[in-house]
Amino acid sequence: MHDMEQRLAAWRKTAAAELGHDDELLDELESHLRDLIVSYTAEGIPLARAFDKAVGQIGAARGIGLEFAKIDDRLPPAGIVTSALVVLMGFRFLYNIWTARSHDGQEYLRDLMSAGFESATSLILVTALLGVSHLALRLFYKNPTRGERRHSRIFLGNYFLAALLMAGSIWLNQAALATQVYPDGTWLLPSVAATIAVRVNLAAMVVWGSMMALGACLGFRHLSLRIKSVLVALFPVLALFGILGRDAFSDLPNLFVFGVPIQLFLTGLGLLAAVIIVAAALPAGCLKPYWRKRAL
Amino acid sequence: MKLDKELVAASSVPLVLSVLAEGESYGYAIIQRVKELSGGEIEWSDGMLYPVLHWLEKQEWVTSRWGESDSGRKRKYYTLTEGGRKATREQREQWNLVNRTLTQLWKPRYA
Repeated sequence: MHDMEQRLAAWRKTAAAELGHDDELLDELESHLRDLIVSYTAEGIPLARAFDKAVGQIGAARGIGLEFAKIDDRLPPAGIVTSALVVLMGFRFLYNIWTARSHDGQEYLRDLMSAGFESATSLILVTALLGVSHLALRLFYKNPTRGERRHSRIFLGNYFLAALLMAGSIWLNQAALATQVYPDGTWLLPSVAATIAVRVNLAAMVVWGSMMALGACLGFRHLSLRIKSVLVALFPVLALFGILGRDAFSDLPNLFVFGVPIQLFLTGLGLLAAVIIVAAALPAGCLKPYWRKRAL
Repeated sequence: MKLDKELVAASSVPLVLSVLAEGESYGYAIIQRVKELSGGEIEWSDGMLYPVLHWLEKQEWVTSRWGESDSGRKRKYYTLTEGGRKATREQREQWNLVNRTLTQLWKPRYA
């Protein structure tokens, strides 16, 4: 019997890796597994075989996790996120074209491609902070699920890509400014790629992060804790982004977003995000699992 | 005869609701009841029942509570709500309609 308890604990650990550390769900599945084992042993099947049979009858935790993912109607459909990103990107490029329309030739291209990069130092700092906070969470929280690991890789990849491209773009622009020479299109492609990548990354962090956080905290308790923890860390950092942005953009008084000076817009966005995450997280008990860790 | 996967999935909600209409129950017992009534023909992978139960709870068609089994083990019991009873009636009408339609369509050919 002792052996069965050990096997049950091992099974639970494996299931937790796929389903997240949702103790209630794991308790429920374990209870079902025990019912099956009792019924099989009552039929005269030896305990060890009854256990294997019961595990087979419950089914793979991965499949159960996928079914739970399907009923999660609070997570934003990918289409909505993509549309939001496209709209944001479109807005950004229209804005770039609008501000650069009065220029011509190389000056036009420079304005078009380098728009926003005057503030690259603060953007790199924010990206680095996001990456560091994420890495800290990775070190602190053990036993991530496969889904959590995948999201973690995507987030870290995004931070790295954003920082790399921003740094590259600064270098290109600095080099061009220092020499007063804009090579004939050779820097155009990396600069365009940098602009797009950075904007997509930042927009994705804001749009996807907001929606996921709301989805996570308004009731979908099967969303992995790792993702929740990343989001909890993300929003205060965005608030910091607002504060940093205010100073960093102070030499660009003519940038407006929806009629609001960009400094105020970024500060407001960061603070609003921080308020939303705290307001949504605390009543919903989203943070509780971080100090209520069950020994498996 | 084994049911198609799609049909098993589509019938899971009315089946679970209808079992719970008989009274409070829990995961393992719900599956046993369906197996018994279908003569063992409708068989789920047991774990797949729980996403359905949790979805029903989210729809507020069922409520759950933790209780104890006869042997003193922890067990989660589900009960149908008033909304769940209404949903069961609606499901019943829909499945009856499908049944009636198919019965009429197939009757002449196989009579």
